[in-house]
Amino acid sequence: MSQYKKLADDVLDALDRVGDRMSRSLRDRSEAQRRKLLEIVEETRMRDRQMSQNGGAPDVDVDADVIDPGFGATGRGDWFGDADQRYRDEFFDEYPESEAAVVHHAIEQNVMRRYPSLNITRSEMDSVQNLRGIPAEINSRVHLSGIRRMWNEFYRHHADSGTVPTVDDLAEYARLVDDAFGDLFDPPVR
Amino acid sequence: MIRVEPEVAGGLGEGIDFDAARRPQLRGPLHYAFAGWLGDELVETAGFWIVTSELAGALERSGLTGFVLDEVVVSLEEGFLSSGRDPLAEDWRRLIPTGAGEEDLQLERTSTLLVSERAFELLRRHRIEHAQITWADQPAPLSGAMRTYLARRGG
Repeated sequence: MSQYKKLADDVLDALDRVGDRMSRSLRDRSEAQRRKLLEIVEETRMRDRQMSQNGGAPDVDVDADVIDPGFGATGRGDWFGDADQRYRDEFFDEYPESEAAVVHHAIEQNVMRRYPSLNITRSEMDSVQNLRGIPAEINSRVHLSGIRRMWNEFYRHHADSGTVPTVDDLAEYARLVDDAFGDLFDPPVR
Repeated sequence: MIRVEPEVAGGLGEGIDFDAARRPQLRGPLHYAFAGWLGDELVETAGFWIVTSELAGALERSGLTGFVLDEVVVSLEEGFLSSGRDPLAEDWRRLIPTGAGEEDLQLERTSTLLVSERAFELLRRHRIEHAQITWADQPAPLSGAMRTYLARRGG
């Protein structure tokens, strides 16, 4: 009987040890995820501070192969093109080597609903000049949230000042957002 | 008062009757389209705020003043990215700040949310991890992009 009790005690001990290890492992993983998130947030803030101090572009090396859609553009025709298919297809047709996990719009789709008087078309919005790829290895949820926050400031500024931006204003602001994040994109924009 | 700049989880949705160039800007219900959600219970797109039904219920029971709760149509943008830890909350209400004077929820200019310390105590008991919080008597924090944009306009 005592042998059975010892066996049962051993099994319970083993289960306790496994439970402890699993608990530590889950705790460690959760802590690692939290640290990673904080690193990304801090990196985003650092980029923003740097951009502010530099009066625009962050201090990054410019690669000769870097694409530069819309940079230096001064009008809607220079920023937007025409898409003839869904935007993800449009993007990957143009950049078949890209390993972007998320494709987003440099000038947000939201502007079509917020400023309908600008008459931005779906074809313009989804044109490849207005698309950016975000690679899987960076936290796209957090970075996209940061980009949306920047655009929200833009909408608030124009709401508070009672003005409607022009397409040139949108393009200029999209360039500033590219200045902050463009080197992270796939392909990079800065 | 405390300035609360919530998570920006999306924007105005398809089919909304909104035009920044006319008055009133919004006709009919607010349509909020989620592009991504980090998990907060109070989210915004400039000039509009929505809260989960849990937070809405807490606000209704709180005795706080200076707000109205209204309907909102919620949808997901193509490519929506969830928080990764929770599915998107199903029920949302529109939160409209209407207060003035000593009331608990107010507007700063047209599109920034101010809350009393009492209201902030309630909000922080819910999930608002991604909101930017500043004192209303301090300047609102601006991104480098916005500072540059304003500087080029002499602002």
